[in-house]
Amino acid sequence: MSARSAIAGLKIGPADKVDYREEVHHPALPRPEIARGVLWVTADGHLLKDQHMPRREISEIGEAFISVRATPEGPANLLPIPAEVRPMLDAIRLVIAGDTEATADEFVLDLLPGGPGWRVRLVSRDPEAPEMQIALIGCGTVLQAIEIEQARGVRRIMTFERQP
Amino acid sequence: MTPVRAALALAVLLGMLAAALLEIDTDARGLLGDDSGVTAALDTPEGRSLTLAIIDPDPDKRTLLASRIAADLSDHPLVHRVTTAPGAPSPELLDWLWRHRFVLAPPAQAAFTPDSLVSEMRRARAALVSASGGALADRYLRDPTGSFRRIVTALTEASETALPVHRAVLQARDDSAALIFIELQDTPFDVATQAAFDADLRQRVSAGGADALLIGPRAISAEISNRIATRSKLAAAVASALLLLWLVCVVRAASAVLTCLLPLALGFGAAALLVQVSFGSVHVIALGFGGALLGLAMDYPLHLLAHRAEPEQSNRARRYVAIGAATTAIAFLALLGSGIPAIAQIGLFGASGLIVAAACAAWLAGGNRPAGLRSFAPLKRPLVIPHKLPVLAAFALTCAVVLWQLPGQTSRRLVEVAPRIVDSIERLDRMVGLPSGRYRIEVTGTTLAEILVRQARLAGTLQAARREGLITRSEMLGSHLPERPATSGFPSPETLSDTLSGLLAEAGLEPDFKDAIIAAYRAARDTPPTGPDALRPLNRFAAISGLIRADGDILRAPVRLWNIEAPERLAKAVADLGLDDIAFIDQEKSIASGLDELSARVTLWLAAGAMAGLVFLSLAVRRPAAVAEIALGCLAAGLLTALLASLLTGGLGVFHIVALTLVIGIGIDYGIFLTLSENDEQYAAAVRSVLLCAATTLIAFLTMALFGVSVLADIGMTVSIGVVAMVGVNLARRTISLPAKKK
Repeated sequence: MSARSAIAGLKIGPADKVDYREEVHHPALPRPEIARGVLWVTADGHLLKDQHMPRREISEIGEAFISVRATPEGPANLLPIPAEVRPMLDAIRLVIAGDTEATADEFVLDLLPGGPGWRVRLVSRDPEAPEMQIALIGCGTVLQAIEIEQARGVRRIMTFERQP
Repeated sequence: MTPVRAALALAVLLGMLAAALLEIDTDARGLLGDDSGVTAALDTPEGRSLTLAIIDPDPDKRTLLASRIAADLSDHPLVHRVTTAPGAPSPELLDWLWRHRFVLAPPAQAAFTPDSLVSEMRRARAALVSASGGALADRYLRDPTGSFRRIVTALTEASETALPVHRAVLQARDDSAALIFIELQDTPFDVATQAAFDADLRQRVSAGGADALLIGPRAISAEISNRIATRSKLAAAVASALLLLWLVCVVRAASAVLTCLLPLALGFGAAALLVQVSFGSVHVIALGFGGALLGLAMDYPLHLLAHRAEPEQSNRARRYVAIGAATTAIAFLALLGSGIPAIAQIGLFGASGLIVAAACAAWLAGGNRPAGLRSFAPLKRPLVIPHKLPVLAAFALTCAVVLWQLPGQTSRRLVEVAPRIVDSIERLDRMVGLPSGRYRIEVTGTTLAEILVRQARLAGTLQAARREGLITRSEMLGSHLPERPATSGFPSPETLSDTLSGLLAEAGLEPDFKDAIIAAYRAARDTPPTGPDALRPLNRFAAISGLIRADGDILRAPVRLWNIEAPERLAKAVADLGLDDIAFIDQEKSIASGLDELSARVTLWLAAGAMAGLVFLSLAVRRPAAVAEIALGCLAAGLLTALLASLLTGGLGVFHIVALTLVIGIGIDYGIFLTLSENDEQYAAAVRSVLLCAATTLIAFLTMALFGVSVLADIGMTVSIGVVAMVGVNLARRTISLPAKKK
């Protein structure tokens, strides 16, 4: 198995939304901050993340912008994607969109040894991208989690569970 | 070798030398000075900005094309930055904002209360799992005053100036176009390079099946310059052809035509080289206007040819030409004292060119005996004005008084903007909402904090102006930042540390994290004042670029204004603030006053030169009454010309004054030949040569008046009127009793 074949076919479209649980570890926190919600990729390739807790936030992540709203009907705040999180958001969006070609174009993919399933490390090809460790964890054609280690000891673990 | 051939060879040599050595300087600062503000505009980031609107009714098509062109342009050697969408602050800018957060958004006293601190820390914790705030949450956690969060929120919130976005590309407000904002590299403005770049952009858009609208200070300047160049070339070609035809008709021999043209060519070449050697380059203004002034040199060979009938007449004509050329050259030389590089160059160019041309004309006329001139029918008897001197004095006084009373004497535009450009600017205004190019408010200070405090005071005035309908919108650096509290004294780090005790746990944070918070607080509190050198990263952020700039040790922060209804009321409201560091600026008035000052300075130095010329003329001629007649004649005709030119062209400017110097030079020549003629025969020869010269000058300058643009047309008109006035004034004699012809 190669890194590319491991991440091929992970697409999560509007018809098969997944529940996610995001854990954020930060040196300032005694316990990780936890968020839960649903995510999927829209027809035009945007990642739609509907966070239910700790507070409702619906974000649509495109190539250059994030649109954020508090409720489905509420006004959207359109923001350019900050450089500091671009690799993280691009990785999540491209992998979940099932766009293996674009993922491989943007990241160097490494299949890491060990574990019952597979683990693929993503390193941005952009020399100006902030330092960030991104790892995809899966089993077969199922993406189980994404682990991201950012600067200043911040670590994010996003786990997925397909909705029945 | 005949003198004509020798002169021709010399002219070719000078032409080759000039082509090899001349450096043409086009910097407008050579004319208006370094501190004019306007002239340096093309070298500022705003001056280098360019907006390309790709017009097509299909948003997807135009957006795709815009993305493709923007991608191509990002590697273009002329392009510094391409923006198609509002960008996120770069990590470098975020670092800078973080370090200077207490200057940009000082926390209010209320931000240090326990409730506020806890609330801010909880908000920061929540940001860790927010898509919009995740990247910045670490800094939010270390700044429980909320200062940094408020800056980020203010900078990223959609402002009223924000444009719609379609597929990550900015769109026109009227949904007609996709927009690309380009900042050109910081290289000197060059008309040909800019025009080629603009043509390439238009071609790319056209190849994509859309229409292009391209607007920017450099693009407009290049278009205006090209238009002036095209029209000038047309005027020069028509004038040259007509002049050549006229000379062939009048002098009827190729060698005589060369005798008329070579002094001009040699004078031009020698003058250009002398200016190059003296100043290190030749300003384009000196080349243009100096060249026009040398039109006077065409008169010298014509005078000499018209007076060649017998040696005595010929010698006298040479002497008169020498006196005339020297008198005019002395007047021009006075311009060296003006202190304005381009004007000083005009003085040296004109003076040296006339002297060389006069010497060359004398040399060629002496060694050449061309076929006779086509005969004129000069006046059989002189026209006589009894009491000519008092009449001239009264006439001059009347013209001066009327001229003084004319309104708006100096409100002339430097350049004429083509209707197509005006239309393009109006279209772009509908697309993006352009601020006023004429009015702005400028806030100055030595530190960023000073600027922001002053802008906070100005904000109230602008709000009131908006309420009263004096403006519809304003934008300044302060309006992109959070509102400033009235007072901004910060507690000591120790006090904050005490306050925070117990609060971190309440906010769900690790108590040990307090050390990180206090270290960050201390660093922000102790940041040195933000002066000009520290500002560079701020200007790289497109959203606030151009809202503050360093000018030496001073910071200048312009306030952009939209749709100013009553500028004088707004100016008063700003003045009522009573702060010298906040000024309402009317750019057009600034330019007009700069040009007025320039005109006054040039006039003063020309007047001094005229006095010196008069002294020289008196010494050379030694006939006080004749010198008075010449001087008064020139003064009266000059003032009449100024009056008529002002009425016909809508006011006098510096270029009219330069044209008037040519008129005065022409008048001195005519005056010398006509006034100093001592009998009927000399008078007849003088009338013949003066009419010949006048007709030649009129051909050149009337062509310029009819085919030239703006400034050139004004000069052509002024000189044409002046030639007619000078002929009229000098043809009439003050006495009928001419002395008998001496044998």
